[in-house]
Amino acid sequence: MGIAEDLLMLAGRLANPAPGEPEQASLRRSISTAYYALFHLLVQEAVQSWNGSPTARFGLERRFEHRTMKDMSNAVWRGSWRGWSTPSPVVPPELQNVASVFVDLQEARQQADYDNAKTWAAMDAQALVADAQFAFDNWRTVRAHPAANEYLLSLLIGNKRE
Amino acid sequence: MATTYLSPQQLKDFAQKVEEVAKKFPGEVVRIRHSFGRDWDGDPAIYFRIVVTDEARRRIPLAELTGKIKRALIDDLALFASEYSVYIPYFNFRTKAEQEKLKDPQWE
Repeated sequence: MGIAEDLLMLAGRLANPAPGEPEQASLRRSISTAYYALFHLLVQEAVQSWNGSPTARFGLERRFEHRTMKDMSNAVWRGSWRGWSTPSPVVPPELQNVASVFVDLQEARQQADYDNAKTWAAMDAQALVADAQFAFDNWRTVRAHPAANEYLLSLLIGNKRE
Repeated sequence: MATTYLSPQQLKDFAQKVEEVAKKFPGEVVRIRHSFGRDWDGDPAIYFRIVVTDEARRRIPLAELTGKIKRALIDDLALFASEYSVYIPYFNFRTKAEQEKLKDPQWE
């Protein structure tokens, strides 16, 4: 398994803390880990076709920005995203799901990591992990679709220039 | 702080529609609370806080349970095709038992 799958498995464990374990800390780490599981899945998928050196590939991975990824995912989710080819590829519902989960997880991750006034319920974390798992499943279904390929490009460089 | 571009009447209509969605799931949803604000990046956002029954949590697979409630809110409120489309919707879930323990006023 790759790092993305490992992180998702870890997020699932953290969402179900054992008695005596620090509950709020576990739930917060679960949510943050679920976000990074999906983040790394998408980044790895985007750079895997890159034929450069491992160093160059690492450099490419570091170019992904959370804000751009959120904006593009939000556009895909709500149907306003335009791909790079003409006509723009139809967005399958599985890809919309991946994009929606990315947006939701990113916001939850920011709150989980930085808003110490917020109290999390176990169901919050478990629902987000379940969403992440569903997004992984949907990505496997849709990853060869032209819209998925162009979505990955958007995650890296943002909107298509008109 | 409530941050919204909507009029008082629009807010009232919105709250009414949220209530109607909650009533569509009598066996699953205890109540739905919501608030307008800005998300962590400063984008306009609607936060939904959904309390589900403990029985539904036990009986229904989690992604299925949360997914159908989210879809109903997005579709019935036309969140992506109306004056609300400027807002990014976010959804949080907890069970009735969890809320009774946490006693968070924003979820009451």
